[in-house]
Amino acid sequence: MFREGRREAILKLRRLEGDLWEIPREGRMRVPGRVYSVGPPSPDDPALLQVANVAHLPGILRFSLAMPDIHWGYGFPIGGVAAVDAETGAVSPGGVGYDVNCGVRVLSTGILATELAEHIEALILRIERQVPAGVGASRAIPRLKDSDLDEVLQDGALFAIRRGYAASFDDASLCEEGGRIEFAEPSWVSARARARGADQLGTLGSGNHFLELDRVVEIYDEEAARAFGLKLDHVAVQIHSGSRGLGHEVCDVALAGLATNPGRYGGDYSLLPDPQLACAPIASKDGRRYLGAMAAAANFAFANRQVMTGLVVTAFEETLGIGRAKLGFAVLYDVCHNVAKFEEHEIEGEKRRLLVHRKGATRALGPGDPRVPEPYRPVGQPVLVPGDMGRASYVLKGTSRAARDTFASSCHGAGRLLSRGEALRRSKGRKIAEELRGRGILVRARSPRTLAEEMSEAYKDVSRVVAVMHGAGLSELVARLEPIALVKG
Amino acid sequence: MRLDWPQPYTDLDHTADVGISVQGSTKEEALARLVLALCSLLADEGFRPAAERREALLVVNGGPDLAGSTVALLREVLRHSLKFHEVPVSCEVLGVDEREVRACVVFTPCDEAHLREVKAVTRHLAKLSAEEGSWKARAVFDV
Repeated sequence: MFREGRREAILKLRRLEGDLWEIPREGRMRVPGRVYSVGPPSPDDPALLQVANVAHLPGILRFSLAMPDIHWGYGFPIGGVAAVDAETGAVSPGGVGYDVNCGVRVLSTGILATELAEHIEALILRIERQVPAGVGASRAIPRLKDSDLDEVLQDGALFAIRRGYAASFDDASLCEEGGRIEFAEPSWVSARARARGADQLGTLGSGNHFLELDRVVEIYDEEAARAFGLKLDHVAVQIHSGSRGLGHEVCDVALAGLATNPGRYGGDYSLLPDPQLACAPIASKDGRRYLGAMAAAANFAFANRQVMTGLVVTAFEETLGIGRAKLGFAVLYDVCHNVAKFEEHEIEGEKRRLLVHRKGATRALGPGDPRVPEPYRPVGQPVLVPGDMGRASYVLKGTSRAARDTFASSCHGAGRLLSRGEALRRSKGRKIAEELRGRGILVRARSPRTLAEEMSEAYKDVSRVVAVMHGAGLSELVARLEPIALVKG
Repeated sequence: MRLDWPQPYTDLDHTADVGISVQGSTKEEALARLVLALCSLLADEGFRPAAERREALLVVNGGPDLAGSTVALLREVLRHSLKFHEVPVSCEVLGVDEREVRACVVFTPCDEAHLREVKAVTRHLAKLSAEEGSWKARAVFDV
């Protein structure tokens, strides 16, 4: 286990097949670890030690999983997936992360990228004005009343759609969970969390959040692309954001509560190798309260991305002077990257209700699954994988193999390679915005420091990450998107 | 002992988040230095402290250990910063133990354009301990 920057053990790893490796079960691990990796994983990678630690969770089933964009996180690695029995298992806030339902939404359009060229500067400036990043409040919804906030926390994307923020009439049906997690309990969201979130609906956030205009540059699967509404050389829009300060506070409150008496649930809960895996039985008061608040925060994030959808469509209308019908906006899909949800999965031939933690991972349901929106059911659920701002992003589709091997899970992005400090050092003397401009990418960011921290070299190459998922049959490539312009948080 | 921003700190080169480590001759000094290091995270390179100041006496329940008290104080400072759009520019830790921390923190306004969002203070690697003749304080922030 990894403590204090020193390793206490080097993991044994054995290759199972292709890019899939196993951390054999040993000691108090309840299950083995399974790691999908770009190249051979390093046995002294602290993130892999976290995979092994997660394998100690009470109620964990089959494997502690790691996607190829894995890196070290809080308790769980980012890129980690763990499913526990819904009745007897544990819920761990570290298995979701601070940014509850950080996720990504992709919008398809009927506009060619070439039609956008002469308007791109005006458009991105308008988007930057209308969709605040950082700590700024939204002009669209300056501040939510308590009663409105309750509605947001309960109804998610539907709240925003009722207020007129939409691309099309069927936006919510094309989101994971219909844009709303049902077991949300707004009453368990603390006053502090509400105060933090009240003026942040419709805002992008900061760090690696972004709103990006892309061009569809390559289609790998014509049938799936057609089903998803993706057309070559057309514009697509990505919105990467989460639950803002409200979600951060929900996680913080839960972790603070569990930290005060880590051994209170005794037995297996007091034997966890890492205190940051603080968890509670799902059925306990702590467990139920966290899950209810987490689901409410997840709904805030769905609503947030929905409001921004409406703002982006309006920005296009106002800048291009083209009506909605001609713009042809539609939600392709909206996925959660950080969430714990009750899902049914088959284990040893038996359907079981599980709580699936995905932290920096994406659900990836295969064709025919009734949870996939009806227009996509023949091909599988869209899997949205953003890359860094200088290279590419991908749309894939889920597979039945993912259901079999990873609780229907796939990667979520590129994964950081460099610390922010190292990125700043390596960017010294460079002008990242100008470099991107030279490659035809227009970027607006709050500061040069943000751009340096988020430069391409700070991230793994997402093409290699998705290649691992495609090669393992967990998600299959549908289309590649490349950036034209973006606003960074 | 009151300290003013900026104060020296070390970046831990944490990949996903931002980790900061400081030293002090006492635990109070080390913790005050860590509070002011948070200002360096919150305020971007364009920030210039205004003349306006607001002094706040923060009394926070901490525990179960000094690391927990460290996180508790930083959380409270972060809450003030994000709520009032201000950053700590001066700090004196009046006392810290395994149950409570008391600090006098002076804040100054920071406009939205220069205020960076720090999502949370994590408990990951949090520390306030005596080592090799001095006190070390450390925290990792989710950004």
